[in-house]
Amino acid sequence: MFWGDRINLRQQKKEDAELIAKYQQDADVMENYFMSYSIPPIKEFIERWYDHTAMDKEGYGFAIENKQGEFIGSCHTMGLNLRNGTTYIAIFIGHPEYRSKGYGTEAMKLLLNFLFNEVGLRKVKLNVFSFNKRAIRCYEKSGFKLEGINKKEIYRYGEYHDNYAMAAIRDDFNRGVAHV
Amino acid sequence: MYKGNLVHLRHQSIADISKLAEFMSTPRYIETHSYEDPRFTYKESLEKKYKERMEKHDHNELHLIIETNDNRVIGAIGINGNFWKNGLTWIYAYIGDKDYLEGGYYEEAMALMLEFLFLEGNARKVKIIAQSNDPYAMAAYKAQGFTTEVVFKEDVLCHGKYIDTHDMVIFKDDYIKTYQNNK
Repeated sequence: MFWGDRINLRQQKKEDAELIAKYQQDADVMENYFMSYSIPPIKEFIERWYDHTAMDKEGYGFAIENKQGEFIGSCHTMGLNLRNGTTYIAIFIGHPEYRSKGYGTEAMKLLLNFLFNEVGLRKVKLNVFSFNKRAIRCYEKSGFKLEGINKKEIYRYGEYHDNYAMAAIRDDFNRGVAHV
Repeated sequence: MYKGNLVHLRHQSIADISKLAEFMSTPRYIETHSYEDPRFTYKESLEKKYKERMEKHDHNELHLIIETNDNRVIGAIGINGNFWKNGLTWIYAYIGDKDYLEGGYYEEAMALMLEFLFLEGNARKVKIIAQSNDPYAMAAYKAQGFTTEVVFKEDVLCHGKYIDTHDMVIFKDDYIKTYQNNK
């Protein structure tokens, strides 16, 4: 468990799949989270992902909880590469009342602190759609910088949109964030 | 079969696996594929993957052999993934026989692959990753119209130092213009 001021990160469990599936049916999450189709995964897909990650130890998945223990979102790694000290991550706040209030930024800082200072990674990467301004602000506040733009990468609403490739570096993070 | 002046592309067969394992265990392959663990590749593990692929019959992947026109296997090229919603195709290519790194073999193999992807496969945007310590690959891709979209700084470990990787892309519209001009 990793504690912040307003939220905690705890190990994601198989029992969370139902709530994750429910949150991922939210229009805001569907629009901004999935690179694939605007059809959210069913609970069984999420359980399968959990089994794969948990059994193969290929990454980390966290539930984001408020201080009352309510599940409000999720974050996880993808493509963890210990040789190169890198991983991709993804995060979403599924509970609508907790969006645009800094909870995502706090969760991101806890996640980065874990990945940099416990796992020992040196670079954390993510992709964000160019139209997702709220997430871009959150990532910048958490220490992510733009590495480049993949042009016309995402097809949504009948046209192609750019995808921003962003990265956070351990040394920068540790210089800027003494306590999270 | 896609055939050029120097090379042609054909499907991989189980008989090629031993040669590919040999290529993938060379220092050059290992130092230019730092996303993978630095280890030797065994024929048995590649054969297992090959059989699994045949069972799965996944049309999102395609694995071809680069063979000279005198039937010498010199490398491999193919599709790692295809995302038709967003029109993205991820490919890979390598020349395993170092005697064929120069002389236009790499370039021609890539030209044949792009012709297949854009004129037959209806790809929209083709993507490939190249490490900055692999000038042969970068030159071959640039020669066929690839441009760097994102430079991932100090992204992979090679000989004790972190080096950059390049996310290189080519769009169908750009490819077609060049193709028509060259016809």
